[in-house]
Amino acid sequence: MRRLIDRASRVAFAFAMMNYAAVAGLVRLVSGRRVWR
Amino acid sequence: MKTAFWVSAFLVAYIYVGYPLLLAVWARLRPADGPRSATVEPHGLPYVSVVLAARNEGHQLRRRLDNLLSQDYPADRFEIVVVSDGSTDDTPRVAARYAPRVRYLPLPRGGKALALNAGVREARHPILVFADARQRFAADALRRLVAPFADPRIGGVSGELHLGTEAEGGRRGEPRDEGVGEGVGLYWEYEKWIRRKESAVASVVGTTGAIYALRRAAWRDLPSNAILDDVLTPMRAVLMGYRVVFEPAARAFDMTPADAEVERRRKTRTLAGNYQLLRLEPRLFVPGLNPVWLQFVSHKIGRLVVPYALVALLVSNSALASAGPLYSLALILQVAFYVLALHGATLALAPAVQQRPAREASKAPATLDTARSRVPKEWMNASLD
Repeated sequence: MRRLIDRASRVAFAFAMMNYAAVAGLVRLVSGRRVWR
Repeated sequence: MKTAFWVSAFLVAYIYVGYPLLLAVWARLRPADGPRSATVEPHGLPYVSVVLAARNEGHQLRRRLDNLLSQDYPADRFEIVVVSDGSTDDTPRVAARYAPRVRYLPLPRGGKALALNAGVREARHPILVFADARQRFAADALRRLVAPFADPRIGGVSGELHLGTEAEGGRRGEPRDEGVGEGVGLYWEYEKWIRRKESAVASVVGTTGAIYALRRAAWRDLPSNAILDDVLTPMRAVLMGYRVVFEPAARAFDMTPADAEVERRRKTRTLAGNYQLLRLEPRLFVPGLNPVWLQFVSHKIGRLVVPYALVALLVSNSALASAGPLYSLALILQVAFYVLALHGATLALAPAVQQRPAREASKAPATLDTARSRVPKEWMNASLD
């Protein structure tokens, strides 16, 4: 059970992180911070 | 509030569940033709240029070039062009050892997009294969990757990137610790499933940066600031009327980072790249011009909208918590999800904190994380989008 919860937690975190990154990516572009070169 | 709740719930559900289901049904009922010839005899193999853009990759370039040169592909039918984007390490010395099989093109620092542009200009053959220094190809990857080009309708082909966890590949003999790797790995399997279905119905809406090929006729120079060459390039091929397909038999291998921070930076860069597409290639957003408009909007743009839908869902659901048992249940599920994500964060962040000092002390062969520490973050591969 613990293993299942840990696995679900990692998936939930990966999903949350991806959504955070979508907002952070927009902020970086709009603020003109370099994300390339 | 109810409208906000249901609209945002629909958006999230459509992007992550509804769209994949739609693709599954579409692929079953109305699949596109497969490439006309999936197998190519040795005498019919096309001439291929492998373009490898690198910045300070000396520590892993030798292994990478050995890997490419050991491909099961006639040596007289493929060339390798290494483009250095202002490398200050021993990249030039390593590349020089492989001349004349490997042609080396040093450039002043200008960014990956300009390095790729220069590499393509230097390349002599009609099929271009793009690769990074870090990953490895299976021995038959090149042969499998270019096979679909026997069909003139095919403009681009994406290979399949197989991920192991850094814990498995980087520290043999030590206890396996998943970090963020397992979550990323599962997500990547989901992503590849979607790509397979998109390829089955028409074209993928992005390739895998670690292993993709393009017909030279479909190549257009990248803008100097382009973040996602592996999305912009194939989508331009689609806009020209070519199909871009996914060929899972063409395999490359890499490791997912155990370090959540590395993964967060990579994701941020990838999703910033998706926003950038709005500006670089506005035709992608016009239904009549983009043959895979529905897939592009559902797959790429939907992912950008979901975070805001999630916030709206949580806020509206909180306000509606007492409006009925359905809303109460939805709120409980949402809270449970965020609690799990927080727990997942502690699991993902813990190994990175524990392992960093040990890695620095041991000077072990470069794992993904240590290798990345020598490479500017702007150069981080954005394959896993």
